[in-house]
Amino acid sequence: MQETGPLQETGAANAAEPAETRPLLLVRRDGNLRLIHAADARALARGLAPGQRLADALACVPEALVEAADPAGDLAALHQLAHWATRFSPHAAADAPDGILADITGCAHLWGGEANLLRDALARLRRQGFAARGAIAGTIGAAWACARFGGEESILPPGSVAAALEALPVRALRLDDATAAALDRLGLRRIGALYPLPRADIVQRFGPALLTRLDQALGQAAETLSPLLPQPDHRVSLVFAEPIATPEQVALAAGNLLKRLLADLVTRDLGLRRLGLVLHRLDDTAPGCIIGTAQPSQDEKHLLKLLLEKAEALDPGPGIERMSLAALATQPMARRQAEMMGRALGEMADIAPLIDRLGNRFGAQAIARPEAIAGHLPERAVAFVPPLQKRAADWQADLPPRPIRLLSPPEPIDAMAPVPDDPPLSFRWRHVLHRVARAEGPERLRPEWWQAADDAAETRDYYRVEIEDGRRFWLYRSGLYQAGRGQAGRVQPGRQTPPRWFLHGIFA
Amino acid sequence: MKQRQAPPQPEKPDPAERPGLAALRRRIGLLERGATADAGTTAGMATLNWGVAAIDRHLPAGGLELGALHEFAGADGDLEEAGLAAGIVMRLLGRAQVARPGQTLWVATQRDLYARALPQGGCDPARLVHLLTRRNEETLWALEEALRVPGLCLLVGEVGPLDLTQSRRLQLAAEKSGVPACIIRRGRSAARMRTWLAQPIAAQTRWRIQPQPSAALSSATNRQATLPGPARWQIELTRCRGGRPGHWLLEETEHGWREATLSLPLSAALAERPLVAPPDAGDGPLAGNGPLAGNGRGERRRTG
Repeated sequence: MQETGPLQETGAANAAEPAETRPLLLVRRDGNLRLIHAADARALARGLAPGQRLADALACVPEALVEAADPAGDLAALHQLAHWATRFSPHAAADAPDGILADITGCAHLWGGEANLLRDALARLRRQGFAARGAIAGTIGAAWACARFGGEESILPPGSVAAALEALPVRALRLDDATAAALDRLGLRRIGALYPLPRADIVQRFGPALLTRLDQALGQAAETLSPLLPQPDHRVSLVFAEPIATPEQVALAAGNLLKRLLADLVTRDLGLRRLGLVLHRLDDTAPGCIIGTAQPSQDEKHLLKLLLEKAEALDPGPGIERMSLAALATQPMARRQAEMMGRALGEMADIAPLIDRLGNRFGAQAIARPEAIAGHLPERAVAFVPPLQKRAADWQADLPPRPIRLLSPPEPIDAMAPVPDDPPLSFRWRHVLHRVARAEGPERLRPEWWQAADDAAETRDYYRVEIEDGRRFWLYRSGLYQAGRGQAGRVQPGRQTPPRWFLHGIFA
Repeated sequence: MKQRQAPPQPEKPDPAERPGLAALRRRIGLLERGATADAGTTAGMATLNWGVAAIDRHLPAGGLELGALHEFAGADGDLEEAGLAAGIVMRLLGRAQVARPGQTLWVATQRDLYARALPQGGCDPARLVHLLTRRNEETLWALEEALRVPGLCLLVGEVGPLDLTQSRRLQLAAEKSGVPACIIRRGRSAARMRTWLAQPIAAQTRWRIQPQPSAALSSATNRQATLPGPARWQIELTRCRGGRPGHWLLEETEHGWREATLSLPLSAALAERPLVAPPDAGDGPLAGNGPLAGNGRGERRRTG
């Protein structure tokens, strides 16, 4: 783990060198007291220090320029700077109140070595007006210590951490004030003084925190860097110099981001399955949207169209200062395979962009392909599956005729059937009486034996009937005729209920 | 309702009969509409045929034009489910799938299309994608989007209200991509449907499907005499751009349909059938004797 170091001083007020040479003080309120929050180099040189009362400071340096401190603004600026620092490593994080940590493992060679990287980073920060110091070390703790208490640009080669930290004050171990004061009282002022102490005594005397910090600095305990944002596979972002708000600008920026993201993915042969767009607004809210594709895609035009359709609904509010686009899910592109697998998949690939658009608009459930399943009951013999799902079963061609419309649920009808096994002579459906001219049946369909005996689980006798005007319907009688029933389905007193008739389908 | 014994009008030469002229007309029409002249022919066929000579000859393009909107509506009792219209479209889809590559998109606000019927109607369900929308406007939006994609075999939409502007948008999109679109009209109320069907829309053809009682399978036993025979439909072309209305009686066959009024000896059972015609069966033997015969009696109502 390597790390670039912190900024010596906080935030916004330091960003610009005052034109005049007066010392600058930032002041915060603490109850009725006004305390110095931060002081610039000139003020420090005059003996002022953070924490001092403003009244005392002004007594010493009456010409000092006083501004109100803005800790929240500083923190925001620091985060912004952390985002900026991702130019050196994707793994960068703000280290409040005044530092930025970056894991530069594997990044240094891009700058021609660690020394060049550190020099470049510090130079860029100073050009922006920050008073910056930095260090590169094998552990977060060591880098933190060297950046603040070591030289301006210190690089610790591997193995030299303990030696380098030896001479630094114990505060360099990121200790709280109480621990630092206690160590100071005991004369333990240098980190090196802690090395020979028995570990058990340190814990007993100062609690486990000190030992943990020491171990972390020396690389004997693990410490991880939590990056700014959860790291998706691939993410690109764009920070705007001026906030943008119009849909055209958003579209342009999104196109730009997508192009960059795809350029990266194309080299890895990855296609996008899910893509997330986040708009960071000026008012610290971040509306976003996610689009999905049915199959991995690298098609910039298509993806952008999908993205913008969703992004239209996002409110830019007072303006967008930053946009980021993340590949939330990627998949190896199967284009070459699709070609080899022949027509079926290739054909589907033609309309995959259309499927994506419709799926994103109407929901993934809305677009589906019928699939035959081996259910006995008609409504269980077909399922709708995602359109690009592989075909599982073949369609039986030898079934008796099936209706083009299947009513769900089947609609109860009043049917007149003369003999137990005969089709009805007439039936009433939706308040209209239909006389049956011709009929065919029954076709007995039973639910699968392993299905629970629920309401739909009765045996059904299906009849294909043609009414007088030529329309054809698919009727069924639910349940079997049982002994003790009268003809025409009439119930004899005290017997079971008559069989129920349903209209289940309409033939073309 | 179908008794139309109008005196035959003097027959004028039918331009659609002369293939050279018809092809030229078609090309001019396409050029006028700004479409590429071979938008349809690139897919391997110029039209979507019914496979019934009488109907195909009657249509100016020799079949249902690709890259155009075709409307199908059922009979009065069949408006809510539109089973008849869906069945006809399904069989046309089966023909389209043979002739054209690509997927079919079927857009509807209900998912009551029963896919088990598709193989029986000659369709390959594996080449069908169903899109469920929530409202009619969404269906129209989806149809228009889908019509912009040239790769589709056929586009089917179950549509309620459809006005001239909406249909024109669809028609224009279809012309651009060369994809044929079949619109199935579906609505709850018969009265409202009548208004919809009376409204002009920018479809190339408008069809009305009426059910017809089937001819019973003649057989020795009584019981089988009550079995339904092959399904029959009265196919009515109520409006056709550049053509005339007409109507035909079709009968289902194993592989599709045939014109029922031609006394082709298809099978002994059919040939010997007792004539079970509806009470007003005057229509049966007269209907669909080809385009010339259709001239005089062509229904001119609802020509939009």
